[in-house]
Amino acid sequence: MQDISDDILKQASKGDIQAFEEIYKAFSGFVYSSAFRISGNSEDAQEITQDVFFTAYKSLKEFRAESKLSTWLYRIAVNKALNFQRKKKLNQWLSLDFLLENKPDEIPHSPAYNPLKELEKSELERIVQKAINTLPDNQRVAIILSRYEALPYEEIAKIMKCSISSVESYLFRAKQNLSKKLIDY
Amino acid sequence: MEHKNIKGKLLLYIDNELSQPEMMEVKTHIDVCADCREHLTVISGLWRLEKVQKQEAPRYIWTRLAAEIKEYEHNPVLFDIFYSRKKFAYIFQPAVMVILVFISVLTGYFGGNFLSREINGNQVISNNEQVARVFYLDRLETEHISNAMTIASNENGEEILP
Ligand SMILES: [Zn+2]
Repeated sequence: MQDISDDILKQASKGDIQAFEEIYKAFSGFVYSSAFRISGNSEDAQEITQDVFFTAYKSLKEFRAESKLSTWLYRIAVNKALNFQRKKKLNQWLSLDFLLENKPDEIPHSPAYNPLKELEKSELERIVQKAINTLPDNQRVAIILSRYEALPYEEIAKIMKCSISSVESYLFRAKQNLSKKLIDY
Repeated sequence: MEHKNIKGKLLLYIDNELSQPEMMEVKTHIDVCADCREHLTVISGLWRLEKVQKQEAPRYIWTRLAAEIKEYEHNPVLFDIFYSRKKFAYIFQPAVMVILVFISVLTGYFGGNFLSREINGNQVISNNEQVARVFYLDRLETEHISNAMTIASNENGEEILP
């Protein structure tokens, strides 16, 4: 994950689209990937990614170099992804979709037929991902940034605007909850 | 019960994040319990799965974004107004529409009756009856009016004008 030169940053904040594309190239992978983890599907992740960079483009002038550009972008990404999910749930309710909905977030519950050892690797990943999706927001974001994006606790703390010990506590509780959710497998 | 308790700590055990006594407790149990040992093997395999391949953002996101930026730069103020409107698109969702229609009907029904009583003072004439008069007086024969007024009076359970 590369950071970006001051020169590019300066040009981009003046509205230079080519300079901004450099920023996009450097960070869209991470933004898309965490949006994908948080939202759980690629269509939403695409919309969130576009929204994150559009917001970044408009507010780049306000970006202060006291934090890293990456931290600033990841923070926007995490907030947008969480908000997007909340809005989506509200919209599902408003559009009465919940009447037809089959609770897709639930972990498939058939341990008798699918003991973990017999499942495919991709299926295992899917089960862990689904279990992660049922965690409270703080625990979910912490575990996604730590497990999938391999960010250090310090960086996660900056993104989540909390202390390192809070991050440790979120991760501890996330692992505790995940262990419990995976008991039946 | 103990098996469940042990299994519920396994991810923390794998990452060595339990207290010393708890680590010992899990280890002692795992040594003697085949079921929990097997679960540990599976769970640790699962947890240590090599990192999922990094997701690459599809290229067309940039194309769409660049178009959006261009449109924004063309007229930022108008774009922002339009954009914030998009956010309120949810008011056209079915549930909201159903509630709005319901409120309108209730307001019309109660509000309408209330007004007609006010306007007509002591003379108790129902809302339905007024509607019947307006609709039918000019266009239909007298018997139709009287039919309509009878229907209206029956609906309200009130005596109407001759
Ligand atoms: Zn056991």
